[in-house]
Amino acid sequence: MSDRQIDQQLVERAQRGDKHAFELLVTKYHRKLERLLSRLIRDPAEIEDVAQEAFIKAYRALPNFRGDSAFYTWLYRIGINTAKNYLIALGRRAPTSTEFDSEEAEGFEDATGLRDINTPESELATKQIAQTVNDAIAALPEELRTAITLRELDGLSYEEIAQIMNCPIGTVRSRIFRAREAVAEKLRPQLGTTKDKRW
Amino acid sequence: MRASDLPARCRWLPVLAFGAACSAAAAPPGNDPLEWLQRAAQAARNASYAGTYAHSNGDRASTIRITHIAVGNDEQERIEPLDGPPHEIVRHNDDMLCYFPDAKTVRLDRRVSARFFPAIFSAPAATVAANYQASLGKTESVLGFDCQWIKLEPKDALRYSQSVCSEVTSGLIIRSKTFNAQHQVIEQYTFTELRIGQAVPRNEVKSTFEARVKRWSTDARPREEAKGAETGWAVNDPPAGFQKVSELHRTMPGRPAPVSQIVFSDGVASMSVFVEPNSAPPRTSEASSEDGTTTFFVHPMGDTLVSVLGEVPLATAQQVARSVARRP
Amino acid sequence: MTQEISSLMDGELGAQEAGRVVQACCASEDQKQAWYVYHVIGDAMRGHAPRDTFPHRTLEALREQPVVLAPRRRIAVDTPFMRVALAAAASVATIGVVGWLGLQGGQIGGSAAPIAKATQPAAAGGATNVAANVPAGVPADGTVAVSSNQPVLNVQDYLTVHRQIPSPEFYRQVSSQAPATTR
Repeated sequence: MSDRQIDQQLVERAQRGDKHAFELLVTKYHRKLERLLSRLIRDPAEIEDVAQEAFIKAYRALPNFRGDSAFYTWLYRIGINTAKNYLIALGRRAPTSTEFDSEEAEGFEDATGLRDINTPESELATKQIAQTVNDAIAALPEELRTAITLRELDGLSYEEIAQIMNCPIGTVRSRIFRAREAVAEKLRPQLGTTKDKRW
Repeated sequence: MRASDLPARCRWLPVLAFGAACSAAAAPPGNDPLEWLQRAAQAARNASYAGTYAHSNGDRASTIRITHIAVGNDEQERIEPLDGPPHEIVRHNDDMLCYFPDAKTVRLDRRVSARFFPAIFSAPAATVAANYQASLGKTESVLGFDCQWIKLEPKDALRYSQSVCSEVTSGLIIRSKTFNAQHQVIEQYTFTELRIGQAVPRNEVKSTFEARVKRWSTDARPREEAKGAETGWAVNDPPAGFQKVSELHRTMPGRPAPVSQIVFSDGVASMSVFVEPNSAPPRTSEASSEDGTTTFFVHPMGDTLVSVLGEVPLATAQQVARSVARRP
Repeated sequence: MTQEISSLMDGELGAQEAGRVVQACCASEDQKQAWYVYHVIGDAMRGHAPRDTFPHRTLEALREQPVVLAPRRRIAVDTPFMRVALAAAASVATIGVVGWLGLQGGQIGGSAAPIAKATQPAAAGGATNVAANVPAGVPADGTVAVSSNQPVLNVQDYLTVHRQIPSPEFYRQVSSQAPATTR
C-alpha cells in the first residue's frame, strides 16, 4: 500500500470526526513540513509557529480535501501559502511562486545542498540521529534488517516481503516491528521529545 | 435444465470405479447423437476435472486454467486466465466472484448471458435439436482421451455451425469449434492438458487471491442487476429458436443511467440486446463489426439506440435489433 | 500495541482494526512516541536529515479545535454518473466505485474493437427491413470515416457485459482506495 493510500485512510477517518487520525498525520509530517518551510523562513521559532498554523488550517479545511491529490501535496500548498502570508504580514518578501511548484511536493527530497535549521547544535544532533539509525540498522540480525529495508527503502507491502523472504506475513510483521524497536531503543535517549525543548 | 432433469441422477465416479453402480447415462450412448449431446451437456456440470485450455476467437487467443468439481447438486469452479494481469473467477453454481488483485476489487455477478467452456450447452438436447441437425462425426484421440465428434448443423442461416468433441467415458467436451457460413473456423476451444474424474482437491477451486489482499473493494452491483428487471422493451421478432433467457439493467461506463439488456439463447449461441438513450452525441446510422464469434450491430432508432452483441451471424443480429420496440 | 502501530504506519491493518488502533494509540504517550520514532527511523534510512521536533504545541493547538466532520467526502468522485450508479446500488453492501474512475468517457484498456464497418443488410436470413442508413463515402478498408460524424462506439463495453468477465484493466486501481464499508 502506497504512502498516499495510507495517508488517505487516515484522512478519511479524520473527515469522519476522528481527530486522533489527524494527530497521527501531524506527527508524521511535522518535520517534513518544517524542513520545507525552512526554505522560506530562517528563524526556527517562526518556522514552528507557521507549521502549527498550517496544520490547523489544514484541519479546518478537511471538508475541502477530496483525495484528488496526495494529502502531503495538499498540506504542502497550505504550508507554502501560510508561510507567504506570514512573510507579507511582517513586511518581508516571499520568494517567487515559480520556485514552489506543487509538483515538487510529491518528490520532495532534501537537496544535498539544502541547509537545514542552522544552529550548530541542531546540525550536530541531526547528524547524530542519522548516524545512530544507520549504525543500529547495520547491527540488526540479517532477517530484521532485510525486512525493514524492503519496507522502508523499497516500499514493499508485507505480502510482497513475505514472498521475497519466503515466510508468513505474520513473520514479516513481527520482524519489521522488532527492527524498529531495536533501533528505537538506541535512538530514544537522543531524542529530546520533552515538552519544553525547542531548537 | 439441471441434473434433476435426468431420470436417474448420476454422479461422476472416480475413474477407478468407472462402470460401477451408475445409470445408463454414464455408459457410452451408442449411436444417438442426441444422447451424446445430453451427456456432453451434463458432463460439464457433473464431472470433476482440472486442466488448461486454449481459446481462440477471431484474432485473439488466450489460455485458461480451469478446475471444476461437482459436490452433490452443486458445482464449484475456478478459472484463471493466464494472459494479462492476474485475475480469476470463482464460481459456485451460477454465482461468480471475479477477483482482480491489482485493483483490489472483487466483482460479484450471476451467470445470465455468457457462454462458457466446456459448458457450451445451456438448454436440453431437445431444444438444441430443434435448431441444429445433430450427427456423429469421427472419433479422435486428444491428450490420450478418446473423444467423439458431434456435429451441429444449423437448420437455418440464423446461427453458426458447431462441432464438439465429447470424451467417450465422461462425455466432457474437450474440443469445440464454431464455423461460419464459409466453413471457416471462427472460434475454437481445446484442452491442452486435462485430468478428468480423479479426485480434485477442494482447495483448487478456491480463490488464490483472496487471502493476499488485506482489503477488497467489492463491486456487487452486477449481482444485484443480474436478479433481473422489467426494462419496458421487447424484441417483437426474435429469430426462430431463440428464447429470451434474461431481462435486466446493466450499469455501463460513461452512461448516466443503467442500460437495458435482454438476453436470448438457442441453447448454443447467445445474444445480448442492449437498449439505451441515443445521445451524447446521437448516432444516425447503423454499423457493425464481426470478430470471430463476436458479432456486434448497432441500430439507432430515433431517441433510442439498440445494439446487439452475440455469437450469431450478422443477419441475426440485424433482425433482432430492428425488431426492438417498447413493451405496450 | 506498539506492534500494531508499526503495522498501522505501513497500511497493513484492516479498516476496522486500523480504526481501533488509531483510537487507542493516541491515549498514551508511549504510543504517540512510537509512531513518531518509527517515522524518524524511516526518514533517516532514506537519507532525510531528521530533525527532532515532536510537535507538542501543534498537537495541543489541535486539541483545542472543534472536531471537523466532513462525512460526504467518503465518495471519491462526485459526478452525475456516480450519483445514479450509487443510487442504483443503494442496497448493495459495499461500494467499489473507485473502479469506475478511469472509465469516464474513455475506452477500457485491452483490445477494444471499434466499429469496423457500416454494412448493407445481409441477403440471407430474411431481414425484411431494408433501410440501412449507410453514410456515403465509407472507406473501403472498413473504418468509420471521421467525417460521417458518428461517435465511436466501444464494443468492448458491451462485450464485457455480455461475457460477464471484465478484463483486469476494467478495475483500474485508483491510488486513493476507499476501504470497503457498509452503507
